[in-house]
Amino acid sequence: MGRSPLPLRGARPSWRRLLAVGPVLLLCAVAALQVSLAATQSLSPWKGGGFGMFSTIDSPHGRVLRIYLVRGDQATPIAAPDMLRSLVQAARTIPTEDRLRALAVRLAQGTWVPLEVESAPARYSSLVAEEGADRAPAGAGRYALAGLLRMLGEHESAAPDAVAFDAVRVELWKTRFDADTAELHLWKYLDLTAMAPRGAEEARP
Amino acid sequence: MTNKSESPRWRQLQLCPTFDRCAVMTLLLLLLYSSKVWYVHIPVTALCVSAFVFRGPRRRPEFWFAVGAATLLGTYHDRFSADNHKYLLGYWCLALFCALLDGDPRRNLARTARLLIGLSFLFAAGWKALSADFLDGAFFHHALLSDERFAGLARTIGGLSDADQRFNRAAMEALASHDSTLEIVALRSTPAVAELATFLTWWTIAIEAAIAAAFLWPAKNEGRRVGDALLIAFVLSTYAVAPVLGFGWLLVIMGVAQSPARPGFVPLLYVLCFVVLQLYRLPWTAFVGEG
Repeated sequence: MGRSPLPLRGARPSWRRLLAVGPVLLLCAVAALQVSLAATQSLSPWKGGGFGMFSTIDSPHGRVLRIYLVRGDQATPIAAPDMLRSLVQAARTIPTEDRLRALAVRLAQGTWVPLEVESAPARYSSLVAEEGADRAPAGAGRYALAGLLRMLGEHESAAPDAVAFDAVRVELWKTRFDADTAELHLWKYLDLTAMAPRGAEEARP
Repeated sequence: MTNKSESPRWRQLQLCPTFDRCAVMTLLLLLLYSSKVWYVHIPVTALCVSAFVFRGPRRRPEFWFAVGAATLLGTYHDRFSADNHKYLLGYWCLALFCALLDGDPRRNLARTARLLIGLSFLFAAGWKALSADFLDGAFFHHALLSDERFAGLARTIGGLSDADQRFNRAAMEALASHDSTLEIVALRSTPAVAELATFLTWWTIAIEAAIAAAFLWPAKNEGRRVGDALLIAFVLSTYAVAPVLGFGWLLVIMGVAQSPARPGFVPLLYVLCFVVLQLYRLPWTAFVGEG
């Protein structure tokens, strides 16, 4: 006897009915949750399965994160590294205090150094030199970008030129568009500060 | 003696051609537009290729359950960035699974497709109706000035010049830059852009609400054909401007699933839409510019 083509034949009608509308119920449940999270936790209507895309300017892309390394009364703007993009995406999509704190703490745990670019020949020369006895001339083909900082990756060794800081401040700004004047306004929705762990404060006296 | 309604032959007849057509179109959709998370993308691709070549897997409920569960897992992984049609794709795969468990797969799939289309548009229209910056035209006005997807429309109908668009891009980048202290920028607009934004606002909310009503209202033949016409008009107009082709394809597949079983004009139109949507990827604005 072959496989029954109708596995639910014989099952109770209530189960069949429930299964038949399962995907529809799932859509409604997720959409209801999305509406609730949008109302209570500022989830962007564009995300979360509630079909609010193209309904508002308030998309994750339209939310701006401004992040600063704070040292005394000085605040240096930094860009979150690509390795933290999932935290950044979460903070922009559903910017709760917990999510901003998670991002701020992770940034505060990092080592920040001046951003340098290196030409491809210089990079190749330095790799060749690492294998042999010769050392490439320090700094040849490397250019520091004034005022810009980057966070070291997990596998990069500590740098002597690490920047000292006391804390990291993360600000989430939302946008509002005035159709009469065609002006785009930012307004601060939330900001949060995470203290630097001991060491970052003393990286540079 | 085997009951006619339980024989494999009967089942094959029941499934073909609508179910099989929807299954094949869904496989194509999954192959081109499913989650890129490796532990979802690789198994789903392998499953879909096998089901594309062999008919057997795509007629098994277990296949669609596995693909649906994997798709929803990928969507959960990307929940902070996933677009809404990724959720809908997962529900749709589960709908194919549920249909295969039912005594009448085609009818079950048609009913689920109508509900999924109707509810998606109901929520979409609801969000727009409740959004203050949508109803006053600000959303589309802003999109026309700053969203690359609307740049062609803003240029051709809105009369925005290349210089205006370069200026607006620079303003947006200045505002969003990590080292910016700006809290306000003025974008360049035209009266035609504002009028176009007003038209798009009311056209979008009207057609989405109409589609929701047409697919959720328990209408008979003529009423359903109105729904088909509205859905096809929506797909052809919307995705020409905002080419979210995965969403467009999914709506077309669900449209096929709920269209009449007998061969006719409506299923053919949906399949033509399926093909035409890919032509939207051609660089039309570059052609116009070169002309």
